[in-house]
Amino acid sequence: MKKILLFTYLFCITLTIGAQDLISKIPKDAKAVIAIKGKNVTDLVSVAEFENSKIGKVFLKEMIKETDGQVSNLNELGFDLKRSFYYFMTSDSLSLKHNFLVPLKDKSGFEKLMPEREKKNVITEGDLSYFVDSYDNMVMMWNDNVLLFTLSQETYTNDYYGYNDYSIEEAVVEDVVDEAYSYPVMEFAENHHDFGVISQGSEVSHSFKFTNTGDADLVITDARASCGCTVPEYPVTAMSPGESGEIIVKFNSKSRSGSQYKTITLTTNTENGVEKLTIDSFVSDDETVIEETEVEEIVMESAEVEIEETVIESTEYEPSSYNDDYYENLRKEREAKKLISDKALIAYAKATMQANYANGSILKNTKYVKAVGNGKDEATAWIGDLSSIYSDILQQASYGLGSDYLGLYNGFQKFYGDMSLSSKLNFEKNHVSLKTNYTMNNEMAKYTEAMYNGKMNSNFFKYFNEDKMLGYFSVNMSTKGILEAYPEMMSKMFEGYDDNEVAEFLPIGMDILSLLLDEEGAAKILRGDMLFVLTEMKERELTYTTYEYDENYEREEVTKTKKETLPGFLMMVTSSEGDLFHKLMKIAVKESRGEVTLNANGIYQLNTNELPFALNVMFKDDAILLGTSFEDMVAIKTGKFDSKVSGKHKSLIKKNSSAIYVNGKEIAATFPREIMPNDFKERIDFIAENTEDVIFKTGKVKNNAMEGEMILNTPEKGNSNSLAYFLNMINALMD
Amino acid sequence: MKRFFNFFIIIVSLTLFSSCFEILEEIKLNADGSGEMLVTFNLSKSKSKIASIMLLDSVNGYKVPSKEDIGLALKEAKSHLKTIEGISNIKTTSDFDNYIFTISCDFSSTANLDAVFKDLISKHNKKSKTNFNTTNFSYSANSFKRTFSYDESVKRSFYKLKSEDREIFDDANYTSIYRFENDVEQVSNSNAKVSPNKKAVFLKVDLMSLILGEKNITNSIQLSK
Repeated sequence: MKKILLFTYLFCITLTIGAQDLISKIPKDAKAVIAIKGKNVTDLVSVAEFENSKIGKVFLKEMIKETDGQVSNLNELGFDLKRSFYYFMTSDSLSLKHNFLVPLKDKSGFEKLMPEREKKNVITEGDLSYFVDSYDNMVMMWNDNVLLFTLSQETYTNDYYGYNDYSIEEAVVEDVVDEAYSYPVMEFAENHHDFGVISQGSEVSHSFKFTNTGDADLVITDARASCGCTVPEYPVTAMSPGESGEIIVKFNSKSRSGSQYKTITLTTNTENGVEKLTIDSFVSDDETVIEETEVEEIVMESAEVEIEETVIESTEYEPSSYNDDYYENLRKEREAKKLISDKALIAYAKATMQANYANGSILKNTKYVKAVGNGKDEATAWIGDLSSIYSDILQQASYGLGSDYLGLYNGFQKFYGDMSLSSKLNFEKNHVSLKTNYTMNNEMAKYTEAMYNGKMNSNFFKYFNEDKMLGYFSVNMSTKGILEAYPEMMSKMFEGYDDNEVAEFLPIGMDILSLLLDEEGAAKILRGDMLFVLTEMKERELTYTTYEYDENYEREEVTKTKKETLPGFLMMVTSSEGDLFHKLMKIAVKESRGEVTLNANGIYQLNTNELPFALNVMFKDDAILLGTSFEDMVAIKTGKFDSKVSGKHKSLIKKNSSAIYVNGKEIAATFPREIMPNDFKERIDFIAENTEDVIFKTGKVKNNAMEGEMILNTPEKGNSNSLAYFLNMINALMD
Repeated sequence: MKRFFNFFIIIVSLTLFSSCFEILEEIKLNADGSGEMLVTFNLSKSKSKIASIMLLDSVNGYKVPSKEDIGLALKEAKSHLKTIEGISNIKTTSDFDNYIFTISCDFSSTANLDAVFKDLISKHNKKSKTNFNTTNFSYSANSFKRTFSYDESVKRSFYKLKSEDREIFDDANYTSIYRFENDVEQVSNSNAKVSPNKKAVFLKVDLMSLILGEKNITNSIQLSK
């Protein structure tokens, strides 16, 4: 009875472990995390609904083809679509690791998907299976609960080998994999040898004895000396644990003199990857003692000579040329390096699978938990500290000279330190929302706030009618704020720059710039707020030239008219410099040879063949208006324009630093369709009936954070939610 | 600002669906086989679309030629014609207000005209994938022949174009007008019309049917002696 209880208990534990969210496998120090919450998605559209949709069918068809009919529905794939999928990135000074965590119901479905040739490379240890793709620095590891895919991306590498000289045999991979947790140890009786005083021109040799005292086979792939004067010989076959061997180092003192200290580097599959031996000698020379600097010169010269000789000799007398050896060595060295990096990758993947983290999982990271939370979002993305990623990029950009090369990093850190980004994707009943939150440090927030602290001109709302527009774009910046903040920001950024001239000059330059700039004055010309309204499609008449023929087919050029439907726009910017505007326009009228004219209503018109439409410009109540419709301009000028802007749009334009509104329904409804093919017309009609509007907005800076949101409104009619809407749209529009 | 403007221009050119153009080939043939030729490209009907496209750098991945590029192409065509024997009095015109471009020349025999096309074809058909005939015009024994052999590869390469690129040809026409000193007795092409004074032959086909091989511009015109 007790046994049964114990068994049930154990079974329950396995169950809870099995159903555990994979987030626990993400380490606390992950730099970026993306989550797709399977349950939230499948609650909106069930797997069966997806499989029955057109796109689902195409997907299944592909899958059946790919797996030779072994997998015929999503269920058989073995993915647990009720749980969450994750991507996360970790980084260290050498590499970025991209990881994908896929929840599995059991591993058989996934294993079926694998091509036969890959199955051969799979290694199984207990319930864990994996294979390594050395070339792509990739490991795939799975059990019945989860599939992990890890890709390592080196950020710093001086790997100069070409693509072709790299090949690694399967057997080698398997060896490595078998030894994933154990290393050979190369224990030398001595790792330094002193040849003592030798006479110039003589050749001496020494044997370094060693034993493999580790648990794995030892492979030496290369041995090289710090000069061409020594030729190490090493065993080329793998050496089992306990086995002994020797490295023979010959030293040729020809054309050398004085103290000689050389290092021999062995490339091995030991934990360090390299082992070092050193030799020491004094080459006696009967001639008088020369100054040290000169000795160095002689050494270098003679070394060059010797290499040349070697090349000539080997190409003439030996079957394998110097070059072949060289590439062979490179290849070996590379293979050894690969073995080491593969092992590290496997160890990393195993640690991830076991969620074996000293600092705990990402759920212990308060920044993450605060930013992402545990809402009903369908997908979330988070980058914890942008500056640490920038520093990795800087490291790469400065060719490994370190991220603080020239002190640039300090400047970066000042502005981008502590900056994080999080996004949340939500499919709601009647809209989709993608929210992005950008949190910055105090320094950056101070400047950003000043730049985006614009004020929208309320008069603009008198100049457009929301029933007659296709969309708009508004920007609410502050020219004054930008001109004040920018020079200050730049000089702060380069304050710590190591190049003295730049570091000193830049702040001065920026001070002068801000002295010269009259922020107030510039803000008078353009205050920084702008509204661009895409107005409704209007039919207009257009003349064109064609030919008519008389009865003898003599042609005659005739001018005909046709109708075209075109959208128009009205752009509005705030400026209190009306005088300046009029002065500039007067010059334009004078200099443009008739292309710019002043109308009786005070509206300037630009008519040129360069543009497919005429442009009208005028100044009214501290604003410059530029638009395509002359009638609208006249109406605005005379105060007779029939404007209409609801509170929804007013607050969208006023309260955000920028906003884009696209009236999809109106665009589709008024799209010119007379000349279109019939099936195209039907589609446009369908879109017009089933499209709502789209909003992109970026808020102002609040509490050091800027929030952006994209909202795609979807019609409620006929769709249970916005995700289902997309599926239905694809169904309707797909051929 | 420029970004908006480009965005707006793209919307404008998207809404302008029809891109119509006309190609006019006019030949006045003297009894001795010499004559004058005038080719006109008229893009006037789609001028707002062209004007908006020309404000952009590239469309559908193709680079948009500037006015200078077009002027240069015409100049090159002119200097190319100068090198061909029997071709004289070469003139080109360009009108960027209405987008009408012409090129005209005098020729001393129809063989000279053939040489023009032969050169052009070998220039643009280097891989000789298309089986164009090289005798386009011939005149002998009071019979004028305009030859055009349709090649299936034209249709194939046409279908290779993206559908939005194909639309360019939707409303495009090709018109040829041939004038003679002698009376026209007979024409072989059923789409061709002869003027009441029997001095001119008129043939207009839409470019789409020409490309798809549904209509042909081959015509054999028998003149009185």
